[in-house]
Amino acid sequence: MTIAPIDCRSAMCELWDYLDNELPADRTEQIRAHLATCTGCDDHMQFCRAFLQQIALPTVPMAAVAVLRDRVRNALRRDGLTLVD
Amino acid sequence: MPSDPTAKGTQAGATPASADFETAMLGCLEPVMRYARVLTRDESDADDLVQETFLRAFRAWQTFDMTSDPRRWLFAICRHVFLRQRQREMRVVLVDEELELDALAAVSLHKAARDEGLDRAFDRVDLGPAVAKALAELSDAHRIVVVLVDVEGQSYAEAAEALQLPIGTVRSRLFRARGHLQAALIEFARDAGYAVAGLTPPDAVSARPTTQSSTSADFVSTTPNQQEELPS
Repeated sequence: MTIAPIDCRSAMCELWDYLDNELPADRTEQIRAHLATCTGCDDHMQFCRAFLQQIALPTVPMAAVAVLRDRVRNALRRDGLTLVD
Repeated sequence: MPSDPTAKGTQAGATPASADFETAMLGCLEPVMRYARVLTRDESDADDLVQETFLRAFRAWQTFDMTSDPRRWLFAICRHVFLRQRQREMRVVLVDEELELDALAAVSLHKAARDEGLDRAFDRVDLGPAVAKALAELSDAHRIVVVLVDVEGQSYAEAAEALQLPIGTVRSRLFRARGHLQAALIEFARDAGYAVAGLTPPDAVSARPTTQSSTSADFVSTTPNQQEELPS
């Protein structure tokens, strides 16, 4: 099956949808084919994909986790939960 | 208002024993805490939200399906409590949905970053602290969409259902928020001296950048906090 070519503008306007797997299969293939042949757009795609990998849950200090865990456990005990110490 | 995840009847899967709560749920405290901090932008508010989340989870424990993901269930409860608290603030109106311009602004931002040697910043630099700060600068309406899609991994449709918004609104808020975050992270990398360092640790650099290069402001005319919200 022949994949109809698309231009850079079209590919870039749907890049987030592409990276989020939100496009129909045929459109995904069109963008994939464009990225395979266009260095500039592929470079931008790599930039955006790396960005998405950075957007994760930020870490919190373990000491703060321990303090809050004790607080939550105490609240749960008051609410009737028997906890193993 | 999104449906309450604890209001469902007992589910079809295995019914949990009370003793299992500690094992299944408290092990998720740290990710729920991180999630709550992203939502609330305030450590004290986040701790209160986490406590309320676990209390609600415990009270609804008999409705939890032991074959499902406890973290996802706790996130849903946490988000529900947060949204109930922020209901008024979430009634925002998006007045400008220029998705195409946003997409092209992202390309321009990348080009500017590349010109400064910052285009690999997302690959090679730990941006954790900057991510937290940039997320905190988003409006609630934009941050919640990023949390659902980029942190929880929900689809646009799932996020739209959770927030009871049209998919188009979720999509436009997500893209605009990502643009703002990208700009903020590039700014962080620049300010940290990575532009002259060639993405080596800035401690090894003898001089800080002295020129003001173009920033996202040149390409993105609005930020989520500045122009997209109207008073409810």
